[in-house]
Amino acid sequence: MYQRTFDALCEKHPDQQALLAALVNQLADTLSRDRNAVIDDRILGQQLHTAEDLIKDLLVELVGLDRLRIVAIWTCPNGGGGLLEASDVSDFPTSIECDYCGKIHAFSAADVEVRFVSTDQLLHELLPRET
Amino acid sequence: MTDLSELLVERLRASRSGNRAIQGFLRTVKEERGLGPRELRTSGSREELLEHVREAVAGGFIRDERLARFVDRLEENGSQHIFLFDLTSNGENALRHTALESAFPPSGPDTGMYEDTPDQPRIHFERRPDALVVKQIHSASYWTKDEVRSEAHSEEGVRAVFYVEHRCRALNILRVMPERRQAEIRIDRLAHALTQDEIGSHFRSFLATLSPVLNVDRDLTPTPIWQGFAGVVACREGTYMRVDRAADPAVNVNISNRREGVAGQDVRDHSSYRLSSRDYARNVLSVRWLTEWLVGDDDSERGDPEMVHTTMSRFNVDDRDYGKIYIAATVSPEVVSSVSENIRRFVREAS
Repeated sequence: MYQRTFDALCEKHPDQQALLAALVNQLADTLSRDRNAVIDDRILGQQLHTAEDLIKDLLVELVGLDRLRIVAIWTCPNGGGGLLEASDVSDFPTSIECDYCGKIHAFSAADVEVRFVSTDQLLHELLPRET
Repeated sequence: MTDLSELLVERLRASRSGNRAIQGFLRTVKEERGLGPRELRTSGSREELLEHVREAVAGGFIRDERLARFVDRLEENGSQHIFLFDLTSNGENALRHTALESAFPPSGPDTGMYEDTPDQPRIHFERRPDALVVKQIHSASYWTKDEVRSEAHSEEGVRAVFYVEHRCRALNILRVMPERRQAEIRIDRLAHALTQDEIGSHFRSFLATLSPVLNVDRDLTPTPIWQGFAGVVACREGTYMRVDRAADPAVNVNISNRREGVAGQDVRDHSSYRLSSRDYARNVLSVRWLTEWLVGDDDSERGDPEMVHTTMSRFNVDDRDYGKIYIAATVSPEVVSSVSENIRRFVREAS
């Protein structure tokens, strides 16, 4: 089932089949451990020994193929995790009570990271037994 | 509609609870009275639900006392910092209903108790089936940073920070359960999260109000809820954790989920999670409790969320450690009771 996502990427990048295979395998490995995991271009770059920008370009293409979704995550500036997610930064409120550190955080673009999460279609392709 | 019932409807409008609680209330009234669909409607937006309540009051289906009890239910449970205690022998004597009743005379529902920001604080005693309750109703204030004004008044080399004071209605509650030899002090979280200093200040202030009958050092033993944290962490069935912070003798460990709410994995399921060992200690534990696990059903009629977020902490005030549970959302009395009972159970099991 990995094949569909792999083929879709290969159509656009026929000269990078090895990287694309590694990327799809890594996504499958990540999502098999946590189907709701954040798909992080920095981590994938390290895992695949590949420039982050190239990885990010490929992930954006997967968004176009409805395999990934871009998500803005407002994170706790005191070392906690994700507080709120939105598809557009303008959807965030001006402040939020943090359930990690208990404080009120005013919105700051510096606390927002833009990453990717999988769609049901990608989960179905990569984890067919679980979906 | 009396002035009191108008005020009570206003309290429902301002309530932090969801519409489901009001719908559930209307449905209960409808069933009890055997009313038809056109006699009492039970669905719609918040404004429509409030209009249905008004119609029910005007039609004589809901009396002011009944509406007041419902408002109390919404206001008194959740959106609070709850300090847990056991009664000492002294406390059992000092906090008898006769002493509480004498110090804080009972009062039926009246307009002064349900004003948005009362000019004068009110405090009264109520003897309820499950607890002896002393309830303080007052206006409290909190401060928020005004980002826009701060920015507007800042210039090169000078940064100005403006804070704005907000006043709001607040309830603080002492609940004494003599048969269980337990007590709770509930401090309103107000409309905004309080700082640790503000919580301590509100707690001290309420203790001062209760001082005619209560000497907290003599009458109450704080429940050391932190002793039960390891038990809560080990309880996988009814809890969800998206963050954990703990320390062993060498390192502090902080693990948190990157996704919002409950979208991500429980951190205890992550391959690097090792904090369930008894070698780790915590002063704070944040947990979401599954409502169904707490109260045995989905509690949707009562308007509770499916998961109740709590932050339990070892909270120091004036060099004494207290066990405090923070529940941000408005929930049903059954949920609050179950959360506190569960944490007490984990403390007992640990000792």
